[in-house]
Amino acid sequence: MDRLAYDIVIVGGGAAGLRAAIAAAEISRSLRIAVVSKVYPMRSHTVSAEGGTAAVLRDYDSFDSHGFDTVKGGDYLADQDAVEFFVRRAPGEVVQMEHWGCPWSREADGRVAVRAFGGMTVKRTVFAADKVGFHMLHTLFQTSLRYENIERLDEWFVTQILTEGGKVVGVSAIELRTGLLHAIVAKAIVIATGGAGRVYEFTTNGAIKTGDGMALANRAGAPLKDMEFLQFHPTCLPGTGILITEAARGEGGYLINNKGDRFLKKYVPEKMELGPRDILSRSILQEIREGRGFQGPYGPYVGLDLRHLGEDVISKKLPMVRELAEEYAGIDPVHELVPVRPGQHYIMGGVHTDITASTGTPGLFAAGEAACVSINGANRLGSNSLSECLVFGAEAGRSAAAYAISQPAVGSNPVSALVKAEETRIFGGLLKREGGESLAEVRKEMQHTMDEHVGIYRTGDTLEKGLAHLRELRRRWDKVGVRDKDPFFNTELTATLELDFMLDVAETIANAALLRRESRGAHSRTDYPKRDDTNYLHHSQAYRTPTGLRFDKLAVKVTKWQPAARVY
Amino acid sequence: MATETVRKPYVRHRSPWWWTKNPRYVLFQFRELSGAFAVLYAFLVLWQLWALRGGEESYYAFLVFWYSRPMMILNAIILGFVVLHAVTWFALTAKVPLVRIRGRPPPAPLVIGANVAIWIAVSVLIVKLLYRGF
Amino acid sequence: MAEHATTKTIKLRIGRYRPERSDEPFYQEFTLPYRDDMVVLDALNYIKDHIDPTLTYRWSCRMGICGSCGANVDGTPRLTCALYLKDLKKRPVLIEPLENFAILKDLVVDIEPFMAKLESVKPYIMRQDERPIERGEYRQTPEELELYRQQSQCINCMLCYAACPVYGHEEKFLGPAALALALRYEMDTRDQGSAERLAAIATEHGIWQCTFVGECSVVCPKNVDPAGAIQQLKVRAANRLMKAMLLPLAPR
Repeated sequence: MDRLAYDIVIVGGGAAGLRAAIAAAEISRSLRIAVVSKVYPMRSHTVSAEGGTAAVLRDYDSFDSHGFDTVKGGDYLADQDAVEFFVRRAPGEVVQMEHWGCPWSREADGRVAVRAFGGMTVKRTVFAADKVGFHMLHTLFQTSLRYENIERLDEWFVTQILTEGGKVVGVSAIELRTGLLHAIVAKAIVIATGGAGRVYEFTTNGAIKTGDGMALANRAGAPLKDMEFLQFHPTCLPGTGILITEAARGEGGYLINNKGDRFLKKYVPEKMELGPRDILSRSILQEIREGRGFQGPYGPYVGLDLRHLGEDVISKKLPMVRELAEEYAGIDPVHELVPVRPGQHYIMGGVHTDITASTGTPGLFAAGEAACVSINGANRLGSNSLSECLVFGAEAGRSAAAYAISQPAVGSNPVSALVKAEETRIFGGLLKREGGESLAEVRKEMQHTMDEHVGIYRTGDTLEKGLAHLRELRRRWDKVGVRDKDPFFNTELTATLELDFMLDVAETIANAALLRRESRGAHSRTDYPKRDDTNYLHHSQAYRTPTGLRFDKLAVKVTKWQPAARVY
Repeated sequence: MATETVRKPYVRHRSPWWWTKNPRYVLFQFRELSGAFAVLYAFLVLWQLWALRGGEESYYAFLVFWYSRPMMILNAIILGFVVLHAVTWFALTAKVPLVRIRGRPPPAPLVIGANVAIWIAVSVLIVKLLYRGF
Repeated sequence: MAEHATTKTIKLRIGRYRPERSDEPFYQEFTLPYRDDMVVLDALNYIKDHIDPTLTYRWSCRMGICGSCGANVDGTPRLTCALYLKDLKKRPVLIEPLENFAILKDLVVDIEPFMAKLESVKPYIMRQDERPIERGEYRQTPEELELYRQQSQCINCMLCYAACPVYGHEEKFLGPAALALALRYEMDTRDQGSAERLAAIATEHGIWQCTFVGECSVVCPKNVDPAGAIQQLKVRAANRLMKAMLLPLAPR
């Protein structure tokens, strides 16, 4: 077991993590920064984001407009000081990305182009065809290669955040290519591990979205905030769950039912297809329940109509949508309807941070989907997430750098002892388990439970049943055996550890959903269908204690925009 | 925990017949080989010039050899390879856009066609020059 | 998910490598339930979930954009998440680790050499003069964007390295993806680092080792055309060299 030491360890190599690394590296060349990721950074799930990145760039736009759209989009649960900070920083980040080579799509005159997006009153979503995440990730990754003080530990799986006396001292991580468990000493840690979509069965998320950082931070004492708020994206391909970007609607696409009607005129008459995602997902589900959906081999769906856009627009602005529809749904959107239905996509909740990306635990920071500042409140507007990764990724890097500079070096003694215990837990215990339970079975049951009980529509009854089942699965995890006994590149072992994290996160989501007895944003309770500002205008905070979850409340910061009825 | 978990990556050895797996690899190998035949022909032409330098008798002796059956067969083989060389070469000319028409490289058939047309025209011209009154 | 009344099955033959068991790789066959809508990755996941959890391979996005899942299927480098079993004719389906890379375990190969090559082509905007952020973006027209758009599509899946016989012969060859990325920055109007970058790639194991086999462009799932990119780089490097020789006093 080795001991490595850095000033800052960033867990996760996606947009937020890489942006944090670059920001920290720019503060001082003598800062040693490690980006620790369980996959090579180009594989981070940022890569699959399609639509765009929102920022105020045009004269017809204003910070107030972007801010209000975001706050209203979040059903007034967002912290408005954070939103005001966010909208002011976003334009600079977009320009910075452009300077770093990001191939933003352009207007004829050479300026960075903007498109319309859900919930945004004006066009402010910067885009790169329909592969914004791919281009942003590769730009950030390639730019990060310039900095000598950024080191990468690729395919290292972090298993625990190590703390001593209430502050972080490092992490323990399995180096996949050797199977060795390493202690990585760090003064500051940034959690940028993304969301946890894989706790659901039908999700746009890739395999790696298992909520690792959320569980790690929660176990280290940091609270998880607003975990009950999951975003279900309205347009996913049935069967695979592959995302069809909101940009398809931003460019003018329609959603139609089996009667050929643009049914959204019943639900969001003003915004129609560009309404916020939570309302759209519920509307689609409603249409399907009332029998106006199409029937297919993977269940019911509605149609995304892009035919009127023409081949030219689709090829230039939505080329990946066309590729995905052809490859995974067997249809050509130029001539046919794209089958779509809502699926889990994003989690508004996450590791609680303040406006500086600090979690409250000394030395621990978080940014990106893994964090909850909160700027997204109860529902995120499309294209705000990538801007959030940039703004708060940079902020986390700077905060972590400032903190690390202020701290003396970490001694080795506490770290060694902590890692020895972790070694025993994993290689002495987990790896040796024969068990009776199957990893795949337990995982599938968890995902199925979440889909059925903690989906778009929830009630107290089903939430309680779901929560009870999740707790039972938590116990069954202890009996999951590991057949691959070789620690070297052991993806069965890492999958088992991921399931461990996911069960924690799933339980937190279900429990938080049960406790919030109102409907707000993406959280819809059929037994409490109204928004209740009197009792529930607060964030939920979930702490993990030895005896289970403990919930607390955190006030929402209101500055400019008083909570009002949310109508589109 | 085991201390010796550092594994050695396994390096596969490539068979000398790797190129037979795939028709494009086969074409590539023959294309590369065609260069050797082009060089061979160059040496044969040099030999012809040398023979010419030696005077009428030496040149006649060379021509007898040149029109013999084995040499005709060799010439046919060389011609085949040189044509392959030219055709594959011209097929690749579209790959590097040296000019742009309204922001886009010209369509491949146009580029290849133009090159081939020039090649044919020059070849016809050379044949005419060699066989004046043809 | 749709279930069929009669279960059709399919047989896969997968290249394994378990260094703790033997020094040599071996093949193992698996028979599993088959559906028309299965991609190769679905089959691998089924095997890992229900038959043999020790089967080790990389994957993540399952939509052909992250570049993790490259493997040799029936002898050709493919993305396992983007290849339907119904489009494969041979039985059993042969799945092997990506060609020309050292095997770490089962289908996982060592891509560290590639990561180093990526870094060596200086894949970032290099400028003599930086524009302050407040002054906004560098102007770039859609036509200028089109100059490098194709090469910017590379997902680093390395199927091109598996297809390249030159790389198969010489590990030091910079290779298609790294060089295509170099062209992407060469052609980006915002970049001013041509001299430095060309110096890094116009080398014995750089562009000049390419013999234009062209198989890389055939297997590329994103149409990057790395073969064309390398030839373009050769022209640019040669032009630069001629200019330097004929006009030694002209600015670079």
